[in-house]
Amino acid sequence: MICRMVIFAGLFLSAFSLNGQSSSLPKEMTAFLNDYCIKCHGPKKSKGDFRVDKLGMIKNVVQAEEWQLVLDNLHLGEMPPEDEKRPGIKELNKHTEWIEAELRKARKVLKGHTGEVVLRRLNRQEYAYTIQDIFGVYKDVTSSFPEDAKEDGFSNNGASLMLSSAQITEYMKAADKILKEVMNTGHKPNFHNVTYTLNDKNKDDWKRQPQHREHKRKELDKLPPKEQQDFLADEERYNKDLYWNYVYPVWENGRLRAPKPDDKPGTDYAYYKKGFGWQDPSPPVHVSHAGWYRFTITGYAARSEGKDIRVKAVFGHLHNNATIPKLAGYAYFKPDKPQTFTFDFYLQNGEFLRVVEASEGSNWRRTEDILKYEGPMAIIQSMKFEGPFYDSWPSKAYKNIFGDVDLNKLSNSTAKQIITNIAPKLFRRKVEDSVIEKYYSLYLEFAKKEKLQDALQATLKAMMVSPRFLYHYEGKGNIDDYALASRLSYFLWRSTPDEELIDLAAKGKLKSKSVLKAQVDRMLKDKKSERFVNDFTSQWLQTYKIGEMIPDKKLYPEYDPFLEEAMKEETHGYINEMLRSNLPIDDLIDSNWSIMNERLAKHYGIEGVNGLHFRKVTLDRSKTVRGGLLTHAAIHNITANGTTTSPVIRGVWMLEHFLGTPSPPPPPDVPAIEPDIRGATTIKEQLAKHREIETCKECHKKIDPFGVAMENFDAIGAWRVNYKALKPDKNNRMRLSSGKPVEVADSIPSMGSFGGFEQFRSLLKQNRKLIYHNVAHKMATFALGRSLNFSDREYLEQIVMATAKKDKGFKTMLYELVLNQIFVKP
Amino acid sequence: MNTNRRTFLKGAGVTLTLPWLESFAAQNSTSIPKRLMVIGVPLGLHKESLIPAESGKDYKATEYLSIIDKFRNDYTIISGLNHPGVGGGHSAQPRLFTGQPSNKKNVRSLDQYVGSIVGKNTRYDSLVLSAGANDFSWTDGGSMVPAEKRMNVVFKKLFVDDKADSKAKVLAEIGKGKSIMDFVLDDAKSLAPNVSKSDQAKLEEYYESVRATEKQLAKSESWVHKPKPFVKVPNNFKTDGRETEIGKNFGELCDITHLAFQTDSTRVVSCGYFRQGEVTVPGVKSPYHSLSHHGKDPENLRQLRLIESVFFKELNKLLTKLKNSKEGSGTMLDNTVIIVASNLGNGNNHSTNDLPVMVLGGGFKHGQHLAYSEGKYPLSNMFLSVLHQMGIQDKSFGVSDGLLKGLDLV
Repeated sequence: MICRMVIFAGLFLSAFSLNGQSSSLPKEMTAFLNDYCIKCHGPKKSKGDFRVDKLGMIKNVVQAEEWQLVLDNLHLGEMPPEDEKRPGIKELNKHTEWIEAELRKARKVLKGHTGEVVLRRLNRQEYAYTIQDIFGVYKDVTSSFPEDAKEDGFSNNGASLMLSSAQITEYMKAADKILKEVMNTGHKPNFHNVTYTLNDKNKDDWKRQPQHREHKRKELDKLPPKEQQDFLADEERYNKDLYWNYVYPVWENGRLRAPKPDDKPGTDYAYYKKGFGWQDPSPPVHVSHAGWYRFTITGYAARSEGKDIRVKAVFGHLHNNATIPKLAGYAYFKPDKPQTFTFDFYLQNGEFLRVVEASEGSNWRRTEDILKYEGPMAIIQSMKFEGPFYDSWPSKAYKNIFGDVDLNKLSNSTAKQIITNIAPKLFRRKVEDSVIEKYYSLYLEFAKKEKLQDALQATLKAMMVSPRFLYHYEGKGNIDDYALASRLSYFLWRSTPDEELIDLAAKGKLKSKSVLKAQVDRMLKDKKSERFVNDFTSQWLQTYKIGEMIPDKKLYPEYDPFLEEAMKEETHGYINEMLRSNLPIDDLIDSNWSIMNERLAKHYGIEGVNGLHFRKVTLDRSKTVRGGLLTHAAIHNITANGTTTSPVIRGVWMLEHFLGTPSPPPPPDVPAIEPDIRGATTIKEQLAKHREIETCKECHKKIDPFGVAMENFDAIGAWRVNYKALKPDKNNRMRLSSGKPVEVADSIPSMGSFGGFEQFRSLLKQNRKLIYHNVAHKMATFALGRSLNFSDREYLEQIVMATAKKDKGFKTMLYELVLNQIFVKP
Repeated sequence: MNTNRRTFLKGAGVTLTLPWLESFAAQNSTSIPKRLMVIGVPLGLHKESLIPAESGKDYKATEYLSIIDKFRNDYTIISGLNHPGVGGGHSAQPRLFTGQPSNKKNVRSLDQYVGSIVGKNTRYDSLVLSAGANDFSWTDGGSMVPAEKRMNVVFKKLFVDDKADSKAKVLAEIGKGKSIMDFVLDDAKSLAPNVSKSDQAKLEEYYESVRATEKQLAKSESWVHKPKPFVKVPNNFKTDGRETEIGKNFGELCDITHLAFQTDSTRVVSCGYFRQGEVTVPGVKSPYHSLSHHGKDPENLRQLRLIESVFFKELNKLLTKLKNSKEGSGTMLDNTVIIVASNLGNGNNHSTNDLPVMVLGGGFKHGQHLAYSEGKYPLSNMFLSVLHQMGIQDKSFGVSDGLLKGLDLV
């Protein structure tokens, strides 16, 4: 019976687009739905806004998606719910097989009706990387671009990347800035090379003293009496010793002493400061050209009890509090053994460098208290600042674009030569002569009124706002080799294909599997592949949210920038390690290793990790619960609001980002639960109330347990047995205290019950296939820049199966994706 | 008239040069422009401190409303409205002034729509500003309009003339820009035969954006020749505005708005009052966003109320300025509609129901608390009422199903 139905349905489907035949279901299927589903999903009740009586034979993608939903719920055992009448296994299988067969056929028929890559615009990151790689321009030109909308969690979805006149205007401005820099034919900027010590900062202050004091003397009577007194005492000391006031002392023979103006080079100075402020040393040069600079610092740790001390150097518009400093690098000073560290960084116009803090030390101290300090310090022997560096002058990028043409002696014929040369680089494919001619005629038009250089600049600007540059243009029908080169390179490098890829595309060789595989190998070895790890991880797992919700200082006094950075480093480092070492995808669920430094290990209560650098740490599972992504503080942090944790939010995160089985959004007329941290009720009690409400129940019994399972992790990822609470002390000040105990036991309808996090993690291992699917799904979504739907399931299944059959590796899955049909279809 | 003029200028604390003054003098009451300012407060406003317990005219001013109590008859406080089909806490933010349901692509926001109509004769269609955030302004095509945080830059844009030689340069740039737009439009069209159907829609979006840019360029070209109004206020807006100084930043934004309206440089402003992290408000120690998830903790609430009070204090200053600026037979406030709204009805659980909404100025019958039963009317109805008041007699906006009952004209 079933067989006949299938054949009938097959015939029906293949003719579906020709006419609108009857869409009624086979009787048996209708009976099944009526028996088990219609009570809640029919005309009387339509939970989740879903009605099975409206289901018909598959005619279009929407209907196919609906059936897929039915199938998924039956497969996962989520429907019918446990407390309702459920079909026996035989009956169930009979019907799920029927649905599967229908979907398979629908996929074939509906292929080409959906799931195509939409002409997608370069997003902000892709634009910036593309400019870096073509023009060698690292200037920030994209920060004023409107933000890119996210779809399915990723900001490279063609359908949702919109364009507006504001955006076009910004592209025009950006093109001007880029071209102005790259077409600069002036003299090579002066090269700075200064060596300095912390004493330069002292000397600088000493030089300002007379003026500063005179000013203060004049204003003296306006100051409050206490400050007047302090100043007079200070004056007295100053009159005895012009150099008594300083910021950085000398470290000599195991003790601190005051610095002198004539201290010789080779003297060691103590950087004792943990916090940062105006006293932080900057190189004594004025930087007037954007470009690559180098900072070299030599030093060691003193009185640190065998520990390393980390010194941080940052750069940016540091006088402007509104901007966030960027990291130049960390110097890890070893105890008593001087070592040299070098950082390279790109300074934008107006930016400068500063050493801002040591990982160990004291707060800022008044001069009279400095020598009394007895704690650990970073000892800085010397600092050097050099730059700007150019690979050559004119730069390599200049040569790449303009060849040997001297722009000062530009002629029409050399201008055409440049246009011809740059067009395929900007448009990422071979460019027809007729198109070159068009751009050349635009140039000639400009050249009538403008200087030739300006005419060329305007023409290049037109190229940079052309859709050929702004969009991933792939043509119609099957994609060609150039489009494949771009897909590959925007996937793994987030940027334009290089010469080798374009060459292979030109020769038509790229679609060969062995060539493709070799290229992926090569691309992953390139440093540019770090962009993939960072962009993909931060969007897939939402780690870009770290630091958005600053944890409450009263509840989490231990939270600091070091921990924040370590959180991100762990998760990104974890995915990086999984990729580079091709570790099994199961390691996402559980593993006996992670990426940590001392700060994070301390946070986790793990011993034996010394030093500030991040490394792979093997975990003793008898001593720690850590292992797998779900124990990462980063994940706990981004799923909390800084004050409290919500199992609902964590549950939703789990379903969307880890398991890939998102739940429907809540109905609009239901109130969200309102957190109450006054200690009266725990979140679990509140949730229980929530789950009593009929409309909430169905979904929340699927969502909440995933979050409840993680309740032992607080808002910053530390392990807790009791909630933290704030209670007033006898002076009515709020003090941190221990609140109600955390309850973790719960059960998941489709998986079973658990008594704690570790049991929960074991349940997940039994459902690993979901996670394999999810990784394949997320990777493909990111690689293709489009939403996936039911017609892609077949490909995902192939990728998952192939990966599972081989070594289950993360990298293997990436290969399987690139070599799969899904990667090359339109 | 002279005395009048001087009084007005004194009141405004601003001196204007002739071009505008003459047009001002020539204005009769019918040609006084209608203006719109929309303010989004994305973290919500603490309900108990804002919404009066009583509805109608005889409500007792709440903590926040007592700050602007001088203007009791110049505003209406509204409760019970929401955006049907809009949910998801913070993700409701972009839909605050569009009213589009969450499952639909976002489209134009109220301010951008009004700007495209009433902005024809001003230097700028609208100003999209931000004291911390503004993802409220959206174009027809569903793109977010980037907001300007630096008020010193806005000041320059509005009031500082380019020098003659740079003016020539600007004109040359605009000319080149127009040629480029023309050219790339043509180039894009040549791609059209070689793309799929769905790509075609994307190309359409490209054409539309290019055409809009062309229009913008043409408009700026015509304005380059007209001198910018001179205001005797120095551009002492901070160049390195500390983002934590949320009150100061919003205050500066209001100052610029007042100046822009006075000089008729634009008739539409949108902005947001927001900070994710720490704020410089005396007595506040925790980050603004975590305070919004106050968990009913009295200490959290105390700090949150301090931050929100700052907003109302600055709003009070703006209202004072607008009220002191005489215009025709009334004041500037009578001709300026200000909408204050949040996408969150309750910051604690980030619910998107029962949104806090205020309509200030603009010639409505004010002095009341309009309390609707929750979810009965969409907020879009209020937007439609405002459109009508601005002289735009559309049948609907967003998901409106009529004008907002109870919000009547004087």
